[in-house]
Amino acid sequence: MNMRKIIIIVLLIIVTISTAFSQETTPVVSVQTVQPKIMVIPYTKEGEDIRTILESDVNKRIVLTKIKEAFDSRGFTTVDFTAKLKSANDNNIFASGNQTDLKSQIIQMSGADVYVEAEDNVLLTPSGNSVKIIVTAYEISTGNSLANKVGESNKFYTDDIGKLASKAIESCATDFLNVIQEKFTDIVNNGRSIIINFGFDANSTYSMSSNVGTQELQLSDELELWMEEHAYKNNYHIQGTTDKQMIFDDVRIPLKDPNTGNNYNTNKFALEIFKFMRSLGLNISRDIKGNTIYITIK
Amino acid sequence: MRKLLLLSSLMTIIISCSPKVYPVQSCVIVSEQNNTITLRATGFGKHKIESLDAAEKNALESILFRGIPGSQYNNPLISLREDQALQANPRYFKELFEKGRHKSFIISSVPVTNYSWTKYKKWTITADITVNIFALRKDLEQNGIIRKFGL
Repeated sequence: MNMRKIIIIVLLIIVTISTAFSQETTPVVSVQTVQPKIMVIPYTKEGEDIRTILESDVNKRIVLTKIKEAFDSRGFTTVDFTAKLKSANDNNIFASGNQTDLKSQIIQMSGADVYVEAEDNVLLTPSGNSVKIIVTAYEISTGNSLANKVGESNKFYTDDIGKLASKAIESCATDFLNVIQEKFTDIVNNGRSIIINFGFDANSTYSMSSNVGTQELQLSDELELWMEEHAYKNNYHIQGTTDKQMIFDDVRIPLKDPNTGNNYNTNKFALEIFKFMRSLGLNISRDIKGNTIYITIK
Repeated sequence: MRKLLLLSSLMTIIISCSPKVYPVQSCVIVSEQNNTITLRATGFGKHKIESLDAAEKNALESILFRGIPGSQYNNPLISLREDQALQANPRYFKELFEKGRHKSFIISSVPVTNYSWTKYKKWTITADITVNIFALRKDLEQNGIIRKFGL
């Protein structure tokens, strides 16, 4: 066996061994951001039955479908209001009576983060018929308005109100979605808005003016100093402080954990508060409802 | 000689006081339908084709960086500042504007004026340019220039 053959064999062995024992590279999985749930609902006046209105008025259904279509065209799936309504009816969740409550109950049970309300107004005149649509998007937890638009169909000599409603919504849907997207981009850049409500148990011996911690600062000052440090980009707003309550009506938290890159949410922020309160020697209970954290100091 | 000097200085004053005209490439909305928008845009160029190409780029740049007032696209598709966006994605924009990829988003480009000499002392043409906004947005999303709808 000549030298050349030996070298080739040795090289082949090295390549085989290195391939066999090489570590498998695991693909880097990027964390998918949890998307907000959006639900499109019809506007109802006080006392109006949302069920009968939607079932009897095809034009309202057309408006809702058109809005959902606009979201679909941007690759975003919405929570179906009609399906939620039906399942609620099937489960006899709602007691008929207060219709405003019914709407809030559907919004609550849907688990939606944002709801889009659509109101249509049909104008019948001798010079032609037209439809105006008012669409508004709200963030459910904070009540922040995300986008508002009015769409008009212009006047046409037609009785096809559904077609006019389609035209009206088409005239503003893109702009409406673009404004919502701008607000979403703001959330990505500046954090999600949550509300934190600090209160006291009836039997608590503490109050906001109690001196706590190693620095013997007042509790309200400790809370603000902590919030200043932990709110995303130092972005927080205090609604008010009394001796028995302190409300942060707008605290920004990041969408992703800056350390792990995982999704970050209200629960995790509540856990941070829990740890901080424990470090102050305070015993608390926490309740989380949507994007609101209720802290009760015992 | 004195008269000549006076006359020439008078002429200089008149010329220097005449209003200076800056060339403007206008871009206004003609109509918009589902996912398409038609813009009337002007472009300057040494040949008709070059002017038409400039008008098309003008229309696209307006949609991307400036927005079209009076339309549903009054906000620009790219919310970043133009220079920032160009700097962040040089390859994409080079392909789009310099290598002619912008043409793939243009459905039609119909001249509405003759190729003519203007007061801006440039050859120009105005055309009605229909842009497939849906495809343009999708492309921007797929290439990571803008974010997809949502968080």
